[in-house]
Amino acid sequence: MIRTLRALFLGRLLREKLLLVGFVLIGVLLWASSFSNRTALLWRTQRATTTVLKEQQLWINNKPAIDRAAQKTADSLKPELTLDGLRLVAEVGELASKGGLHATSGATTKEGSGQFTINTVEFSVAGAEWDALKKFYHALQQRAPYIAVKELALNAQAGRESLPSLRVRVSSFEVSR
Amino acid sequence: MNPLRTLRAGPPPPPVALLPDGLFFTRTIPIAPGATPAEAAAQIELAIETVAPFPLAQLYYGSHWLPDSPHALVFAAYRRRFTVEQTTAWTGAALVVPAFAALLGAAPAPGTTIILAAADGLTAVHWGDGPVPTSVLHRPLPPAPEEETDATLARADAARAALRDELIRATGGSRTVIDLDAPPAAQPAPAEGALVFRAGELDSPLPAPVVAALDVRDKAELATLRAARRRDVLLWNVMFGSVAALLLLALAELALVGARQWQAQRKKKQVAQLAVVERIMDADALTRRIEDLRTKRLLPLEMIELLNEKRPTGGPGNEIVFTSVQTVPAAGLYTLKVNARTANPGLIGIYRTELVKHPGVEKADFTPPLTRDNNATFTFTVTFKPEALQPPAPPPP
Repeated sequence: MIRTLRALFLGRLLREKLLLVGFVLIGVLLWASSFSNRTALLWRTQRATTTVLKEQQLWINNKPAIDRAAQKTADSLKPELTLDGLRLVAEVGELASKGGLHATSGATTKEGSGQFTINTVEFSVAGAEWDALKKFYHALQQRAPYIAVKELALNAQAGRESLPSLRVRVSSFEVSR
Repeated sequence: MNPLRTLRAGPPPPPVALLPDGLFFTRTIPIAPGATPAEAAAQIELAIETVAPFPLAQLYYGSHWLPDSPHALVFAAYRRRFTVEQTTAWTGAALVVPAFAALLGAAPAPGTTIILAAADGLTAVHWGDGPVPTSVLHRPLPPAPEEETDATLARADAARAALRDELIRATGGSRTVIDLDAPPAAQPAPAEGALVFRAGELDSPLPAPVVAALDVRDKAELATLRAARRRDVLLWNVMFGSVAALLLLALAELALVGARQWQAQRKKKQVAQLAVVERIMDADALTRRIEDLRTKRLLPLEMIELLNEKRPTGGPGNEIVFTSVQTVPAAGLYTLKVNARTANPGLIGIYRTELVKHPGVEKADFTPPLTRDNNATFTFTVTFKPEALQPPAPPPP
């Protein structure tokens, strides 16, 4: 069959041969270019997927170790000292009051997964004595790690440098058993 | 016409022009033993120049020689014996030879004579011991009778038989005689440049080098035709390669479809695992954060106290006052950003030097001060070494 096709091709006029070869070559080039682009795209995608799948598998393989670590962390804490959002606000408010400060709290944010939940709340104290602030701060630090200072900012108003304002973000965590 | 049937039928026989034998004179010429094809070709040309009554440029000539053959068969015709129309018709032909030359590829037993009958006469091709015929003789037939009666036909047959006998006698030493009533017909070419002729039961394969030597056309014109043929074959090879590439691409497309399906399965698996993995990651991150809360503490007042150790406090005009202090969570647990002012800008450089020298300070970056109304305001960011910061001691129980 190929010999027949060859004979038919060779029997054509030169311009017909050139046209046929030209069209087929253009077709090959266009197809090859498109194929190469699509193959490259698929190659990149599959490599990315391979990486993600490997990473996922790594996490899945490490799940027992992560669970053990979480359990170990949970075991090292005293659940009765952990605070939920409400208790955190109450506890910090009480510590401020004990230092003679009036702390106003913002909204509580909560983030958690499985065994742990972290509650974060921001407190503000306006125009307080430095010693009272230090006392409040030390009282907070004494409750570590059940209450942790995440951010702190002190601002002195012009002319009232001795009465700075405090803004502090604190976090507590709950352990689900 | 059914294209499939055409394809199945195989390639058509190549076009050939078989010329009347009577127009050619033939000779056998000796070739030096051990001659190469090039040497043989040179000897053949020289021999034709010698025996031909006309210059080579006025002849259509060809030859037949096989390696180790002690002689070659040459044949030539005066060009003017062919009309322009005839020579124009040769343009597309794969081979132009006298009819008997189509039989030169046959390898009959030694002593065989082939009698080739044509309308204009009889040609005898006689082989001696070698593969190249030793003699080719042609005798024209008497003109056909104007009236075809039994008597005239019988006379014509008798004349034909007499001519045949004369030819066999003239060749001498014929042990086998093969009569061919049909002219040789070209068969589909077995290979590029080669040809096969068949006459009756007789096959005459002609390899490409033999075909090239047999062709009687003008040698320069033949060279042009062969160049065009090579170009056409090259174009065919490109065409064939391109079509093969298209087929390969089609196969590769199928493979790509398969690969896409495989990838889609993997993607499904990835999506299915995503929620589980995110839960594990969240649990891990949260555990680490709890662990950090337990073990790593932000100690802002301790950092402020370290800053105060070196802060100039010489009273108005000779002090630096912190207007705001804040932790920088993005920079970690050990960095403070301080906005400060002083009525004495010279103190800024001193304070900076003192801070940089402080063993508990890892680095201190100061912005250029802005001065207004005898007050310079500036900002600096200090990063402390973790070991320089100690949490407050727990109260006594």
